[in-house]
Amino acid sequence: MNLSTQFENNELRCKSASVCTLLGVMPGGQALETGVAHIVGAVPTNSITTDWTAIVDHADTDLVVSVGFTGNPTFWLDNVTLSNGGTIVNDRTNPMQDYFPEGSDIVVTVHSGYLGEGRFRFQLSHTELETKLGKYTA
Amino acid sequence: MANYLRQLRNDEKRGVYAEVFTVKAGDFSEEATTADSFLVGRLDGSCFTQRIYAVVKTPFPAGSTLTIGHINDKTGLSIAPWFTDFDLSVAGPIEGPIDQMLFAAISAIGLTDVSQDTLDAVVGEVQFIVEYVEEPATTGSYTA
Repeated sequence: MNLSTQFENNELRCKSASVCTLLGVMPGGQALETGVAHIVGAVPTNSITTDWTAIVDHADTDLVVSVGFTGNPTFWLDNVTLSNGGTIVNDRTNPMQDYFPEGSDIVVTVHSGYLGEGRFRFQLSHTELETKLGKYTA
Repeated sequence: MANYLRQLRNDEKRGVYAEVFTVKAGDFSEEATTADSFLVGRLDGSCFTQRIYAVVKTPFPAGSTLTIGHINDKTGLSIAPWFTDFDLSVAGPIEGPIDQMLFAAISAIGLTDVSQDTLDAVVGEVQFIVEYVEEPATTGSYTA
């Protein structure tokens, strides 16, 4: 029996990414509050996450951050020190297989450090189990 | 808790793309020497690299090595290596450096330290794959 053209099994899926950016002073002049989780992005509905990368550049100091999703704000990073100009990535010899059937917000907590004129980015790649390019997840 | 989802384009769904640079035996000119550098492609501007890996599809003869990387200065003389003295004689995929790199502008990808065995090879094919996330969103959709 050939199921290759059923259940969208023959679809060429796109891999996509969420890129979550924080500045020391957000648009509108909001100073970035430390010690509090902030919503900075989203995981699309019905997606499997595959890789993440955290990067700090042009900050005044190193940053201690936690990154996760609603309900588990330390899922990807838990009080981890990010050196200014450095990156941290997931263990890519150990593939991620985290499934988000309902999607989720991505939350970041800056515990200490000062971004100044720099920026923090958290990049999360995902593969969608349903083709949803061009749609919203939330 | 502040909600920055709609700021700084945080809600955009970014495309993840790959570029593939192929090097085949016999592609080097007869005048090429081990002191030469070779341009093999260009990486899209404004992107974050995500994964870099090499696949030796057809092994080159023993002793075949090269160094591949991005050209990291405007003079085009200096290569920041991704793989140094990479052994082309062993088939299979090999993961490259995993530190994320941000390329603000289109960057040239080049070969250097190409061994004489590589230059002389008549059999062999290697492909270098760079996966990257676009920095300006052009996919045209949102994550939330």
